[in-house]
Amino acid sequence: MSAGALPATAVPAEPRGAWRHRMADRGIDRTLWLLLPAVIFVVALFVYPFLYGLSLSLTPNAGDTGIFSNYAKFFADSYYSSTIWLTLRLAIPATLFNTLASVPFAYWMRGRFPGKRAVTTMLVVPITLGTVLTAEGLLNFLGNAGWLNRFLMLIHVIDAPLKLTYNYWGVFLSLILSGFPFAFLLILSYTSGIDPTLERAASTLGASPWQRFMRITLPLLAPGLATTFSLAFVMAFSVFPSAMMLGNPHGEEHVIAIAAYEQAYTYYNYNYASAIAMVMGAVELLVIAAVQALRRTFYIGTTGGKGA
Amino acid sequence: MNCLAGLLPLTHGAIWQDDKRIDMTRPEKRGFGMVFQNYALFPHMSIRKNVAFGLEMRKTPSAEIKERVAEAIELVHLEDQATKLPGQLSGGQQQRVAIARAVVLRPPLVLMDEPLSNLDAKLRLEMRTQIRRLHQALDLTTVYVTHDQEEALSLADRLVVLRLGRVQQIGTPRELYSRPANAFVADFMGYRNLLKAQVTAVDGKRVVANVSGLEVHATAMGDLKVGDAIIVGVRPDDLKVVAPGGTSEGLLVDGMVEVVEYQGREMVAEVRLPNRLALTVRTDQDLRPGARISVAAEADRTLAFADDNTVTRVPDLGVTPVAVAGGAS
Repeated sequence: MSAGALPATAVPAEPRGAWRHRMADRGIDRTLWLLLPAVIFVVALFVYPFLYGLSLSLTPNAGDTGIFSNYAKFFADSYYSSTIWLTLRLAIPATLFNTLASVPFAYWMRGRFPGKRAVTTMLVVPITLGTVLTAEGLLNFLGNAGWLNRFLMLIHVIDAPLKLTYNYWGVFLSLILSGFPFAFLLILSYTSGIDPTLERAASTLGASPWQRFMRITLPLLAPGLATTFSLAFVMAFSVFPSAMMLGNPHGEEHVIAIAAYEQAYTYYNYNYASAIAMVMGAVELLVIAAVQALRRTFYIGTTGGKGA
Repeated sequence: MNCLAGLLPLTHGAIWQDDKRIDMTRPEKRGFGMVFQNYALFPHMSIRKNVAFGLEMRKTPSAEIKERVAEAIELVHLEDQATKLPGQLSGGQQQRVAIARAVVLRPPLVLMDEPLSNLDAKLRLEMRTQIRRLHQALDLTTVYVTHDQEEALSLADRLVVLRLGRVQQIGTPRELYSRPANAFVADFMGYRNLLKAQVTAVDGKRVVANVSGLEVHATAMGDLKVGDAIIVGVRPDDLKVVAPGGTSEGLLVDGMVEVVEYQGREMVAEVRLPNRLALTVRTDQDLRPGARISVAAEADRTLAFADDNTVTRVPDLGVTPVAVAGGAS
């Protein structure tokens, strides 16, 4: 092809790169490729397993008909459907306790004071131990011949050992021990995000410490409380090892995660197990949606301080 | 300021309000209005709610709250913004809300902690006039902390200059401006030329000083003796550019223009003297860098302070000049 032929074939085209420019204006350019590893990760480890589980749960077992047969079976069998209630009965009080009990601690610890690091470390250690170790420790501590009962009997507060293991209270206490540090850390970051001069301003305007907390700090903390509750709830709702070790896993602490485990690894009924897992996810979503709807009624915005 | 408001405990001393000792009173019981440097508006409450907060804490009847809040918001011209949240307002508007929130309580004392320092220069001037107008209208005793000389002079009825927690001088703005008690106050009051010198002769209020070889006639502020180490202070405005070979009974020196800043009506020039010292001169003459000029100042306008080691030209480190705009009390 000779250079002389070019003018004849050249059409008045857009200058090179104009298309790329327009896409870049809409935020689409080559840097988007940086998302690829994350996308692969999410698809491979979340989207695909989720969809696979969903399709399994909708696959009827031999002898059943209808794509919802696994779900129908779950809700028809009270031993299984009651797991929703049994789990909520553990998770909601424990989450509420963890979230609300964190508030005074975090509120008190938002400033600087000597020994803050030591106190924080102490509060956070349980999170690093893992649930199994915590559960084992509690078993020893709370058991019939455990330190707590022996001590209480020694000082004659009680005559017979309190039953704190292999029942509701054992699991509940374990959920608190492992869930509290998590909630506390989150709430602490929210409280230190609130500008301390707001409270000082309120005090010069005549607000007592209690009024300052109720009128200023708590409303500003509400969105943080909602988020913390949601995250802590999901952790508590999927309770498994502590229910196995500290509860009665075939009775009152037959939680939903145990139900799914049973179906998957005792009866090798993956389809049914997947349906249970889906129900579990749906319940979690419902609770979180309710909390977030509640949160919408509060102020959402800057809280003035660092990290706001 | 924080001690007055009760937010910090005193290290020593006492605070009295009329004949009541208040330094152990909790902040919420003092009933002072405070305007914070960062405004400290409650971000989750509307402007109206912010202003009403103090009255609600005092259990004021709601009809009265409504009336007084509307009045206070009108006072700072924010009627249109009353239902917005603080985050939707500009810095100047937020500062006005903070002022309304403090004055709506009709407090016996208003505390203002550098309220204008977060605003840009133009807004700062506007707000300064507004604060002055509010102060004149409401006649509330106000303690106003600032590092800005102009703010202090324009707002205060009485000025207190503090340095490292110690009072340097108390007086009206006019007194402090024309007769600063020491080199530190002079520095704050715009004596940009502060030169170390030695007294060579004393004649009543007049002293002759040796400024690194240059002979200067100055007015003594305080008792000075021959041989004393002193600091000679001159305002840039009081230095005049004169024809070479002119005379002056105060200060007269030749020098070379080094830096020129154009400021509209006038120019500010830094003039390097033969003895390596520099003087800042404000003049309406058109100076060029490199020009050789003579600079003169009258002896009345050239002040000599004892050099009490309040080292001059220390930047704002720990310096808290306080303007007290006295009202009825």
